[in-house]
Amino acid sequence: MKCYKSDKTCLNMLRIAVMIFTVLLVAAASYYLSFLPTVMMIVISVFFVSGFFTALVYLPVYFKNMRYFVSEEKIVKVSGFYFLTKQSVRLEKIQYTTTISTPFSKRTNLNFILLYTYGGMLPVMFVSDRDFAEISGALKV
Amino acid sequence: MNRERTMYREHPFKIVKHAIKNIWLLIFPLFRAVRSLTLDFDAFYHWLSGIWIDLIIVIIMIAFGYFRWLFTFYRPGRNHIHLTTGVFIKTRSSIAYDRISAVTAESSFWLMPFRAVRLRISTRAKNFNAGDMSLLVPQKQLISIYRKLPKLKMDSPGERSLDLRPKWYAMILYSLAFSSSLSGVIYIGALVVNTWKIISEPARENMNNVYRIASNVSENVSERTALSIPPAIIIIIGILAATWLLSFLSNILRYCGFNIVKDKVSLRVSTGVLTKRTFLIYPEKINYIDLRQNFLMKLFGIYSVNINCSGYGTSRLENPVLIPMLTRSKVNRLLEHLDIDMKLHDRETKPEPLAFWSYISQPIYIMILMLAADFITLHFFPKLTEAMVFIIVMQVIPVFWFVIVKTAAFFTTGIAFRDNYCCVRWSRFLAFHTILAYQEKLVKIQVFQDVLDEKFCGGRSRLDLYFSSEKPRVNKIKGLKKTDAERVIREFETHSKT
Repeated sequence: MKCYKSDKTCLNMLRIAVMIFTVLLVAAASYYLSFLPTVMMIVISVFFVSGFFTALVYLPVYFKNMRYFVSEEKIVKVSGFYFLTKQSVRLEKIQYTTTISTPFSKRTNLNFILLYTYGGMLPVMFVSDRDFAEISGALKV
Repeated sequence: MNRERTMYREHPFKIVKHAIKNIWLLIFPLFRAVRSLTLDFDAFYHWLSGIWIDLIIVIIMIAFGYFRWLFTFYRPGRNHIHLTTGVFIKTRSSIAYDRISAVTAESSFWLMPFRAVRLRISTRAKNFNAGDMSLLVPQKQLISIYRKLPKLKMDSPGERSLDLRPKWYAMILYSLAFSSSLSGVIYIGALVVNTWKIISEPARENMNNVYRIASNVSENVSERTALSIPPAIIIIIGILAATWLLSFLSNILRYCGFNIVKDKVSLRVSTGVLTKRTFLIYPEKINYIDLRQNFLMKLFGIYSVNINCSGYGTSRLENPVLIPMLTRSKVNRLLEHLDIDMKLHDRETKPEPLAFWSYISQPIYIMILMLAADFITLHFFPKLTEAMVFIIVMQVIPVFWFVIVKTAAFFTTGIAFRDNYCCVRWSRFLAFHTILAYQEKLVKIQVFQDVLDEKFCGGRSRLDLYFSSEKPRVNKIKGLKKTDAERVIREFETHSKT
């Protein structure tokens, strides 16, 4: 059973995206809510804390916990922040698959594989381009 | 080999469908038109001079559609069918042929001149109401896709084990029995809401006319009978009748020309007049057989044979019907022809006699509540006496019908287990269901017992049965003795182990 981990490049990309988004929200709040200083400060604090929490705590822990174990019979996904969730799908039960690759995915490693099964869907996310090709091959996508 | 690697584009008509998805962009020309009309005296000329903006937006819409179409390919390979979409973000879906549960080919009347067919490929994955892969393909490519499907013998009539075309009167009876005002109301509701906004003033005048006609009818009825029916009631009855008629006509158009053909590996159902649909169903992917009846059909021992299979009859206005009308003996013969080794059985486990009240209590409670409301209304508004008499009569009739149906349900609800399958009879609202399912498709049984049942009714319980299905539906058997419920669970466990 081979283990695949989520890619660090994706993590950094997402952290940068979250930071930029937070800065934009803070700027918008300070511009549009300047006539209500107290409300503005509360809103800015909420955006600031949640943005930095996501970028500096949540995403690194989430990415560290996210692992995929692929064998000839099944694929197991372990993920979560505080509570760890373990999902297992037998490959013979997969009904169909969808792969999503973003522009410059070779650099950004933003690749996704969606496994549709009888009862739900298991997303395989943020794997490197090489791992993406290997998992796709193992799943015969 | 080369042919297997060939990528195909969808039908060019798909450009229009993609472009329509961006119709929200027309909001900008609309804003411009509204602004110029309200603020400027020479509005028309201003609008005309800026029409290039509108044209650019329309071109952008078409360009979106064109590029989306240009970058969408499908490829029927050796073992999978692949679909690639997206200009910047590439999405590739692959469905293995042996995972397909149903394939639907829909030729709408407005697509026929373009020789385009909407193809929906469904698996048992949880993606109901829409196919897992939906393509608009040229008609000539449909056969080449069909040929790729495993072991499908489209052109070998010699191997057909069943070729059935129900009689025209059976289709009309079916359409009569399963037409509901609800679907008609949905049609008319959408129509009225949208048109009202456009023609509100003329619509108001029309409504006045409708009210005048209803008043005339009301006066005529009052003169000829003892009943005084208010015009508002006449309008409601008229709306219900019209919507039911619409639903009936829509059913006729949908199910006319119904034909079912079975060969060694698949079932082919063709149906429809204006929009022709062909469903290819793989029998091993059928979850269960659902024989539906209403009260009149039950009286005459007639069943409508439906199946639960992902991709077949899953849209809101469709019924997953296999044969519209059949008698009990013919149902068993049909199942034999379909190579389904299950047949109808009388119930072995049934509700206990004292549970009769739990079946008829619901309509009786409703009737008591309605009558109480009527008498309160009469007390405070004595002038409405004549109208209220009519309303009470109109209320009592359906409730009385409900009591009769639920009484029939009490005498027919139950369950029977055989070696590898079960036959479950139950009723929901005014419909009766008989489910025939293999043991492995019965995935969960839940025993429900409330405090009163446990304390005062000797542990009477309700069994909730869940079958393998894309959209989980609970099948409730009320009023079973606790020992009977436990016996059913023991049987379920025994068969699950084997």
